Formats: sequence, C-alpha cells, structure tokens
Amino acid sequence: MEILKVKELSKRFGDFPALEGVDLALEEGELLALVGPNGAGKTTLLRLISGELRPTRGEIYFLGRRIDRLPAWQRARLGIARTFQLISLFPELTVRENLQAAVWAGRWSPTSTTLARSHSLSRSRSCFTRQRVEELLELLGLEGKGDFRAKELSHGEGRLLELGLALAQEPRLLLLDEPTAGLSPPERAKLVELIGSLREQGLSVLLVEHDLGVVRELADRIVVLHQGRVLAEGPPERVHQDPHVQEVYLGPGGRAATLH
Amino acid sequence: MTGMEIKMGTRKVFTATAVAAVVVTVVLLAAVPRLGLEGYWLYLLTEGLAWGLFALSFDLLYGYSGLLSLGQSVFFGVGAYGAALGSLRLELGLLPSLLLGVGAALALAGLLGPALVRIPGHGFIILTLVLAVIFHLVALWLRPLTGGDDGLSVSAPQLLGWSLAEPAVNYYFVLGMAFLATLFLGWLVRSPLGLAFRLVRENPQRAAALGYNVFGVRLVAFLISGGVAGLAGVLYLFTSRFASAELLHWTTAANPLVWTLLGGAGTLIGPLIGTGLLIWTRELMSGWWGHGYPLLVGGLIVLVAVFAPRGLVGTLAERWRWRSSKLRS
Repeated sequence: MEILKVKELSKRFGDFPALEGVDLALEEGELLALVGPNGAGKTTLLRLISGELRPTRGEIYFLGRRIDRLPAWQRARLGIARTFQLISLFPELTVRENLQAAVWAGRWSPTSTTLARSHSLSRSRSCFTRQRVEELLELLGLEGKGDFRAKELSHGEGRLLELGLALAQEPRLLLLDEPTAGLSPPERAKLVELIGSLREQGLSVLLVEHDLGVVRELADRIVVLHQGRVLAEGPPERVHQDPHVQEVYLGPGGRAATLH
Repeated sequence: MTGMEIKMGTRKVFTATAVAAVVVTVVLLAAVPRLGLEGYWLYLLTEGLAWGLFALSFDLLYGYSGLLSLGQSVFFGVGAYGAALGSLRLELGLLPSLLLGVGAALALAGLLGPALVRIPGHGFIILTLVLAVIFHLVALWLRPLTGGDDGLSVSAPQLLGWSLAEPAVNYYFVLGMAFLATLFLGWLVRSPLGLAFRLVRENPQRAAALGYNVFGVRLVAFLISGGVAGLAGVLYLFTSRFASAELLHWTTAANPLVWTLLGGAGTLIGPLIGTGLLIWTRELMSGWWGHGYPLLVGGLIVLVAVFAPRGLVGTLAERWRWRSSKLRS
C-alpha cells in the first residue's frame, strides 16, 4: 500500500519555480532516497510534505488521505515525523525533557483536551513516558546524557537526539533531511546502522542525503531531483548508470564517489 | 554509589530543600501579623503579595512561554475595575466581585488573544504596548464609569462576617488567594501543558513538527496569564480600595518586567523575590532619596543583565545544576 503519494506538486517562490510537477509515491516499509544537487528542491519537497510550506499546485496524500491543506502539527499527529537539516532541538531543556516532549506530543493534546486530562497523565502515563524515554536514550546511546541540556551536546549527539525526537513520535512515515551532515565517519556509521535497523522494522522513510555511500547502503529506491523536476527514478544500480544522471547530477568529471 | 543513585539523591535533596523553603516561607508569612508587623508595613506586604502575583502572570507569559507583554496592566486594571464596579454599582459581595473582575480580565484576554498571539516576537511586544496605551486612554474617556485620573474608591468588603477594614483580615485574604494561585501555577508549569509552554518558547518550528498546536499553546498561556493578572488586580483593589486609570497605563506593566528579570524569568520563586526586594528597597529609599530609586533599579538591571542574565534565582539554580552535574561525572 502507498503510504505517501505526491501528485503534480509545484511550488513557486515569487518567480522562482522550486518544484515543477513532481510525482512521487512511497510504498509502506520502503526507504526512498531523494538526491540531487544543491537547489534541486529536495528540502522544499520535504517541507511541503511535513506542512511547513503550502504547495502552489498539486496534491499530497498520506495513507490515502489528502493532507496538503493541513497545518504541520496535524500532519505530525497523523504520523509524519521529520528531522531537520540544521539540528533543531529545545536547547534550554534537558535531553530527557526533549524526548518527553516528543513522546507526549502524539498522546496528549495540549489544547483541545482539558487540564484535567493532563492531570490524569500523572501516574500510569508518566510511568509509561519515563520507560519510553529511557528506552530511547539507550537506543540512541545517550544514556549518560539524559540530564544535560540539549545545547550542551556535541554535534554528533545532537544529530542523534534530532533523530530521537522524530522516533519518539512513533511515526508511520519518517522524513530525514541530511541526517548525517557534519558527522565523523564513526558517527556516520552508527547513524546509518540505526536508520538501517528502522527500515528492518518496517518503518517507511524518505531520506534526503548528499552522501552517496549512505544512499547506496540504505535506499531501496532513488529519486533524482534536478531543477525542481524528477530527473530519474529507480533502484540504486539503475539510477547510477542513467546517462542523464551521470551528465547532470554527477558532473562531467564523473566525481561520483566524492560528490558534494 | 552509581551515577543513577547520586542523581536521584541530589534530586531528592533539591526537592526536599524546595518544599522545606516553601513551607517555612508560608508559615512565616502566616505568622507575620502575630510577629508584630502592623500599620503601613503590613499594608505594604499585603499590596506586595498582589504585585507578586501580577509578576507571576507576566512570568508565565514571558519566562515560560516566550511572549514579552507590555500590556499586562490592561488585565490588571480591568480586574481591579471589574471588582470595583461590581461592589460599587452592582453592590456585590467580596467573592462575586472577585469573580467579576477575574471574569472580565479573562473575557478580554479571550477577545484580544487570538489576534495577538499570532504575531510573536517584536510585533507582540509593540502591540501589547499599544494596547496598554489605548486602554489607558479609554479609561480616561470613560470618566463617568472609571473616575478617570481621580479613580474610584470602594469601601472594605466583608468576608464571612469579618471586615477587610481590619488589616490582618485583609492580609490573610490576600495571602490565601495569592497562595492558591501560586500553587495552581506551580502545578501548571510542571504539567505537560507547562512543558508545551517551554517548547513553544524554545523552538516553535520543532514544536509544530512534533504535533503541538503552537497557536493554541500560546493562546492558553495568554488566557491564563490574563486571568491571573486580573486576580492580582482584584487583590490590589481590595487592599488599596482604590482603582484609577493609571493602573492600565503601560508603566504599570513595566513593573513586573523589572521584578521578573531581577528575580529570574522562568522560575516561580524568582519573580516573587524580585517583587519583594524592589518594593522593599523603594520604601527604604523613599525616606531619604526618593529620586534615587529609578536610578538604583536601572543600575541593578544592568548588573543583573551582565552578571546574572538568568536573574538571581535562575543563576543560583544554574550553579546548583552545574555543581551537581560535576559531582556526577
């Protein structure tokens, strides 16, 4: 079943067409990598799906439901989580509070329900939350950092927490915007392993990534964006051999391995 | 001992210390009239409690939710006027007047909030300031209703047969209400909704991506803050028995800003301490150098901004956190 379907999607910023008639579909449990040179429209597409931007034209469906007019927070409630290219945490809050906030987000409605309900959260729910937060800390390998403020984390730890917040939402669709940017090789390997294990568990992932090594290792399928349009699409081997892709995306010098 | 045990240990010590401090403070405050404080100083302490609650309403909005309002005086003033008109025109008793004042402040917050909280940041500061200016002018124009600059005087109401004309009764009434309101705020900021306030302050974009309705969270903070400011206005009215248009002026709203920054935004104890310290200082100085007070406040704010940007309590808490985290590692 298709978890995500994007139809004829266009986005203009003034006169600049950031995306032009993009079609895309993501099967449940699939890991789709979105690649393309800078300015190809990858992050714009992600922001349209997550709800930070509204499309100029076109439609977006999540599990068969049209979502392109919903605000971001409602899409998150439906089960779409995203990470940010620039690490985006709650800097003054502790790592635990960051995760707690994400665990609570999906289960409790801060405004539509009453204060009374937040009180009933006290016993059994806070027990559940505490357990879930400890599980996540362990999964991320941040066990010793729970009481640190998010701003006190290293870049690599911040990247892990960035992913942790999205996982704490227990999403059905995960949008990752360059999750390995700025990481050292060992940190990168750890994160790739973590993302790989998520795929094993059947999570649907849309991955924007510059690092072709990472893409080759993780992706079931690749979509190449170029100047706001889909240039090529298919399994990794086929896309890499596509002459258009080699010419436009990989450059005349064919610097495939060290792209970016 | 493992790190986990030490952490639990320090947290327990911290909680126990905090609870003990609160209990001692409350017992001391409750004993104040018996300890011989009376006359003007007891009045000042009573009024100070109302102002302290006003500072908390500001802190909930600014310190916790990240919305700096220079228009809190509007809700303070409307609360005071609501209760004043309730007891003068409608001849209501103490509690109905109180409810009328708080209700009027809440209703006004509900009316203005949806438009205001859509414009966070600098826009919010300016709009709330403009609001305070407008409402002050409106209160001047509505002289037949508000008494304008001359204000309205109310007589001391009765509470269960006791008259608030008795300073100790007045004091205990204000102390009780302020205590209940502070307990409520303490519970609120520790609830999931309180965490949501801080999320929206820290990173609204990420909060929305997690599924928090940022607009809704801000609006709830604005409403509760407006209601608490209204209650503070009511308590002030029944203490001073006087309301004038000046209460709505934006300079009234600037006071809790100063008190909160000095004591520590984003803590509940901080603004109360800041309020107490500055009101006490003002009174001490008024005897020998009244004009010196604004200068002193200005200097203090500069010192706090440079050496303790989190305010007195905030900086101490940070020290404590830093020390206990060093202990752990």
